[in-house]
Amino acid sequence: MPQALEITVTAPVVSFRNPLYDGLQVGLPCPPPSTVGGLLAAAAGGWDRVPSTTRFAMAFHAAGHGTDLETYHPIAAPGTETNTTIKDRDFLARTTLTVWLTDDLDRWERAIRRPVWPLRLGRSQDLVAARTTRVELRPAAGFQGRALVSDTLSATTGTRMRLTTAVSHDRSRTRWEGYRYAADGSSARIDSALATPTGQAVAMLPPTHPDQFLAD
Amino acid sequence: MLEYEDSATPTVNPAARPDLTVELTASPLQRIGAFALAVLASASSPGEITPDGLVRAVDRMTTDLLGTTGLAKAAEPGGFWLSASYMLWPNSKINPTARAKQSPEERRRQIRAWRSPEAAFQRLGVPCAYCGREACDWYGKVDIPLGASVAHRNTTAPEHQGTPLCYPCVACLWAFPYGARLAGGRAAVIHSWDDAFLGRITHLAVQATRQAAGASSAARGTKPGPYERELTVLRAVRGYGYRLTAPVELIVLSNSNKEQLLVTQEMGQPIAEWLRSTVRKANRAAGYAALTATQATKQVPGEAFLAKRVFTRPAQVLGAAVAHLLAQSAAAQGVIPPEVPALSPLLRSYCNEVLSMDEKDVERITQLAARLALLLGRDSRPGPFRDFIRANSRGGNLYGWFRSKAVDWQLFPRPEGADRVLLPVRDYRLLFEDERSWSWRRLLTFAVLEALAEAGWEPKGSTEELRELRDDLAESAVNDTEEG
Repeated sequence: MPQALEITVTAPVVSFRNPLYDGLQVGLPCPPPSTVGGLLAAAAGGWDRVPSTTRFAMAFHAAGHGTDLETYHPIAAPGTETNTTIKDRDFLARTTLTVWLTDDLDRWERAIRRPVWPLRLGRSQDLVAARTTRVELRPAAGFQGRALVSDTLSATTGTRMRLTTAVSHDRSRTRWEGYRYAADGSSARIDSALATPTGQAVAMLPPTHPDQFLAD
Repeated sequence: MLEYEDSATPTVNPAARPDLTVELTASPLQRIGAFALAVLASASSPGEITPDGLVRAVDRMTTDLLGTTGLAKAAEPGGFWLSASYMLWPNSKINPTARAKQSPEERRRQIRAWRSPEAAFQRLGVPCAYCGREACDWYGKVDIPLGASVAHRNTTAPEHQGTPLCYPCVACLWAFPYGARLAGGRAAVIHSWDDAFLGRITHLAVQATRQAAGASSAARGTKPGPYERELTVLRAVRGYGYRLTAPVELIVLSNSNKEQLLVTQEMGQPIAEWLRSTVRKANRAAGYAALTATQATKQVPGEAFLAKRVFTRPAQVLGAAVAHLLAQSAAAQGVIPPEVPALSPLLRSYCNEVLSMDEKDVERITQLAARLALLLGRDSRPGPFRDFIRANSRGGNLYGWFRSKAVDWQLFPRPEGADRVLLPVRDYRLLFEDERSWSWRRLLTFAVLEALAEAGWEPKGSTEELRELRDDLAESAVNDTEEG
């Protein structure tokens, strides 16, 4: 049976900003794949040390959510003055991100245990704890649960969202794709091809590596 | 490149820009704008907008803005877009601080400069933030709803002086307000990733906005009804003729300088489809009026509250319906309300299709209710019925009630074919261990009322007994109505 590295990332508070609304701090209910890819790249020591074909599956759970106030320091254009202000910011509390990798397991296990850069999720102040375990995957369909899945998969349920899959090295390009996520969990059985021993679907997401923009 | 119909109105020769085509992107606001632009360009969809149509549509929007240049104040007849501009395009050329001192000609010149078609010919050498094609200029809050000021560099790529957009995408953002309902300092829009639905709904919105803009004076002083925006979405969904393939979002926003605001609510695709079925399936359509009546409060009409609940707390629809029926029973001294049979197909389908309660489990609860109705309906005394309602209310001891009634069921001569066990394990788990146990218990109450109504049961007893029954039913109705 195929084996996977299951990475469990926990954080008391995280915040994922929706980049479509840059005048506001609108929060997403889960991290976009590009954010999770960035966390893996931080562990490895940068995108240069991540194979461009790396793919992963992920699930996310937040036990609570809220809105806090954050001091916003605008970076001003040269020659202009800006005032520091207060903005609402959505946050998620007591969060657990689960990532499944099916390639280069030893390498990723080492990277997560001894990350090159501090592991963060969302904001720079939101440090996380990560641990790994090996799981045997079954070559079967699984239930969607709280997995983030591509909306091209049939029978998926939950909110349909457009999320960033990859961001180019110079941050000028973004690849958006359609996903589905059920924050309260979904009992839908989806054609994920792989599942954990508990029946959780392991649906691989598209590659997040920025090198994919080099071919464009 | 540019053609001049007269000295003041530059226009684009579309033949020189065959790439002036509209693409749908990840941004809901751009998508709504794209469909609105299609209406203004007399195209059937954004993909069908020709370069010529796009230029014509932008020109049409600019003409609308130019219609405000002779006005002193937004409140004057014809001031619709000037009024809306403070919420949509703060600090833009239509409403500068010095506007009162400007002549109409100066205002015209400023608006034309802002919406200049010459931007279509510029090239930045960087991709559009929305569609990835080459951008024509940098844009900020003045053109992008909920965008940041161009003076802020927190969210733009290094060296970028604002958000890079291509001309078709910025034209979509200019068209966005046409797809919105602009009232009360807010823009309210309906969005869905179902393109066919979004196209239809935006078409209607554009018609309504243009009608409002063309009215000689804004209808002032009309207080909106409760949950009016949610109700608009509910009616739009019920009136849609095709299957919905995605959830429906209600987006309310403001881009004003006083408060940038975005509130998004989502109606799940299963709820939307169920609402459509209440028009198209005869047995559901028949009970819809009865269902909306069960959702009403003194302050909020039933359909409006139904609209609110399907967005925020779908499980409350079932709870409110049962609470209403209990209140009706209380008012009639325990007599089961006559609308129960009509509500049955609606509530069962709601449990199954919206609350994702398994059809077989719904059937189990129905059969359990039939057994309970046999027990409760043995005699016409109101006491046993009252005890069940009390036990199955918030704070009631339903488990204890079942424990004692299970013995009664064993002793009671059962009809032929009836189950020997009153509460099988699977039923027990639904009522006490399932994460939606409260919904299962509400369904049980409804199913018992239904079974008793079918049996023609009516409580009979002393005035004192009936008064106690009425009081308990009324108390249960109040407890069950509490949002929980």
